[in-house]
Amino acid sequence: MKNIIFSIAFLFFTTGIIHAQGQYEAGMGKAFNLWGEGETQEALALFERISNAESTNWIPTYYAANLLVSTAFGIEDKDARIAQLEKAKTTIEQAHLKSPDNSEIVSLEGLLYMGYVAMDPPTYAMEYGPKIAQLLQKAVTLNPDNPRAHANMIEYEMGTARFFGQDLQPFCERMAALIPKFENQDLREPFAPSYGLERAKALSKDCQ
Amino acid sequence: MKKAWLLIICLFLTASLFSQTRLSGTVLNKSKEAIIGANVYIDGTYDGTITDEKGQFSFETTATDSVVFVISYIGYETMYFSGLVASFQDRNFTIKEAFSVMNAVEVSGSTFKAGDNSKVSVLKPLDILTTAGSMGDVMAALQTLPGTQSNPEDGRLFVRGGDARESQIYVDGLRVFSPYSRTIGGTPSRGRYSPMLFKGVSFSTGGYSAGFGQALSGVLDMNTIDQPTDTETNISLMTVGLGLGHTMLGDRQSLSFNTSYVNLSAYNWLVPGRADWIKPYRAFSGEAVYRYKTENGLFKSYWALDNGNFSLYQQDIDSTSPQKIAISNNNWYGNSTYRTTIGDHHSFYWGLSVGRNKDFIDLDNQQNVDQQLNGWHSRLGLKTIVKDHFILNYGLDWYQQTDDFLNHSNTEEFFVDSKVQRSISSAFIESDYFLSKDLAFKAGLRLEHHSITDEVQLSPRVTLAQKLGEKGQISMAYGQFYQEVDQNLLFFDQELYQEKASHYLLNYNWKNEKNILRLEGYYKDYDGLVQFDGTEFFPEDLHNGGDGYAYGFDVFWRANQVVRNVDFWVSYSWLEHQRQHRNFPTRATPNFATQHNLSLVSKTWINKLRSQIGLTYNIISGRPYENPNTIGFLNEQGKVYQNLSMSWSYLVSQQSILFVSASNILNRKNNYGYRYAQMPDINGIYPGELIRPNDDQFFFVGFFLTISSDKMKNQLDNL
Repeated sequence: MKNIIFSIAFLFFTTGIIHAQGQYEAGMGKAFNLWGEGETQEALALFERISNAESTNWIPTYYAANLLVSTAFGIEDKDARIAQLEKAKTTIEQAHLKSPDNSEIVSLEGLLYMGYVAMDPPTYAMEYGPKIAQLLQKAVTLNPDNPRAHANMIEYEMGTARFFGQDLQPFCERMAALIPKFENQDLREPFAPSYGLERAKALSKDCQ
Repeated sequence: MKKAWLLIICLFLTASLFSQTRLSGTVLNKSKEAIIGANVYIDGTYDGTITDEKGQFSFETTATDSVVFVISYIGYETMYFSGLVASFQDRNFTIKEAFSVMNAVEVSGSTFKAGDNSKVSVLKPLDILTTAGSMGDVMAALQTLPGTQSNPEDGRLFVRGGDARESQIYVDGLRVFSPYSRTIGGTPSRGRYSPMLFKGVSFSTGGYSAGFGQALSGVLDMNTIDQPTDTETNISLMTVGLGLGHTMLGDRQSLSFNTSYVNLSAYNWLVPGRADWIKPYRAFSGEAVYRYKTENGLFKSYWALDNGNFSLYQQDIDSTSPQKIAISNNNWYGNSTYRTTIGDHHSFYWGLSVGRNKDFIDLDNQQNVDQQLNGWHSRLGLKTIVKDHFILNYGLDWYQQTDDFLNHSNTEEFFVDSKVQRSISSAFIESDYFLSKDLAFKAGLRLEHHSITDEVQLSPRVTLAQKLGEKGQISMAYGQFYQEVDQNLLFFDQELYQEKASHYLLNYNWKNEKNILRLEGYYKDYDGLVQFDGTEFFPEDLHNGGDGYAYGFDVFWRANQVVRNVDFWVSYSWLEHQRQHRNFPTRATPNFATQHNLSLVSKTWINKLRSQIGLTYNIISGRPYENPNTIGFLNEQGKVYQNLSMSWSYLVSQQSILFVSASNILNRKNNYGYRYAQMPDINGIYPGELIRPNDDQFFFVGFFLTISSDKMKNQLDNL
């Protein structure tokens, strides 16, 4: 009898964990599917809910912020765009609280400020230009093995070089050198960011 | 075997414990419109969805009993509802738009801002440097805005009929005592402070906040950069001198400094003007800002000093032979401020500024005039956010200034020494109250006590603003303003009361993505202006009997990218002004108050050439002047002034920029009316001479280099 009670208790306990674990996997999986299908608003909402429920896990918060930053570039209305970038900013702050000095989040913060500059260069370039460079650099320093941090940085430098009509070859070479880094990423943490290989490949051939 | 069955039963049991409830409803805004894409969910769970095109939602949850139901949507307040799961079925929810500075109506008088706050900003931070013809001078760039009457040979700010003294200049909320460089007739003065260390300016041509006193016509507040982002060195090589700047960054603190040496000798040799220089203008100046970040606050300390001197032979209509004048000026200014937040609802500000200005004037090596000013200003300010839509600003202000005037001769027994010392203590309170995000008012009171006359003045100020649609707003303002009389008159009579101005403003603002349009009408009433008999040099019988009025309208239109790669603005000011003050025998329009001022400014970016071309065109109607040979007072009018300036900035590389600028490229011979002799000639006629600028044109070439620890920091950010 003792055994039975023990097994029942054990079962309740483990299925609880499996359930929670499974819920996270299922939830994140669903969010990525929605994102893949172009249902960005729904994907964003789901990432936000997961982020809210998983109070110590930075990954869903990171993706919510990532979606906010990347979709902001396409918003035409300036006020709406600022509102979204402001929300992305608070989401990134939440991510920083969950995981301080995280190379992925810091690099994303650099992209956030690029969103402001791209929208209105005369207003924001002077204030945020140096900040972007600083954040992208900090992300690389925090984790030199993070290929996305490198790629964001190289892409930013490439933009400047292109503007000044400088030789782009060195940037393409640096980008190409990143490809093995992308291929040998440590993927133990489920859903941790691992994207970027395709873009790096494309950019490494963008020198002609 | 038995155990295995038991396990299976248990598995079913646990699974069935996660039973499902379906929640549904509609999310609307205040005007009953559907909110599409709002995130609706049960707090702490994954259960939720987004609303559809009708604002409807429906989802299942395994949560039981009491839950917190959340609705979140960008631009709206996140709403939380607690209750039993079952209560969130078929329910309608109304969500409220978030109250934020971005979407609310704006309540400020006629203020122009240059800075990063995209809502109220009219000028971009770097416009000051890139406006053709401004030559890096803040004051010159501001004169392309409406509400100013440009006096190009003077260079100072004249606002809506007021003289230069009526516009007060502040750095980080503290008074500057001697804001303009020392020059002599015909050469425009410049602002002493370089725009490089400032992140933004706020320039108000009327109806300003109760936080500012001692200004009848305008207030310019310049804010130093809070937090530099990079360690860097800036080098400038210019046709008129050299500059060196450096910024050092620590974890919590940073230090920036900027030094320059200007010497016009080479320039005057190359491009001689009308003035007969012995020693053309030369000056050394330095500025530094130190900042320290505390847990919730920021301490800033700004210091500036400059030393300039020049000498020349000057001849005017009254002198028989040229007079040798040598002027040496010595100025320093410092201020420290500390700002901090206390909790979520309060913020605290304290600041102190001190300044000293000394002028040594030598006339023909015979007579010396030494003038010295010492002053300090301290300010304590508090801000309380009573509610999101109700903000209180209040504080205290102390101001003290001492002026010394020493005039002595080397040849005769002649010695004058005067000294005036006074202090002004003030208290102010102002509330910003938003009745809704579309309707707001600001009401303030300022109480001032002047130490010499012991007078106490209470000045009320009110602004009311109403949003008209998404893009427009209309506002009205009224305010009373006091300012002590010209300090030079206090040497003759200290018992003079403060002068007074009342402002009435009506303003319309319209703004979309690419355009900003501002229309403003105003009426200004002057009272208690100083009057005297005799001349400016020997005034007698001084009293506060003068008065006057000014009315007019201002138009400002800025269009960015309406024409591709072109950013331009148009400012027009129309002014009707009359006053009786000083030794005016009757009401008249003073010569600095021109009726029409028009500025067209354009900046075109040419990507292929990595260049920005700037053009500025000014037209100013003829200036009134007094001709003693005719009947009437100040009723002659000079010639229309026109000036087309051009600048070209070329990005040589990421780190360097070449800047070429020329004013009055059409080389028009402008003049500012006539000046007449004090005494008539033998035929009883007062001889006159044309007032002309020392230089018709000005050319400038500069090369600016930034050496940064971070190789990506570049001059591109500076355009």
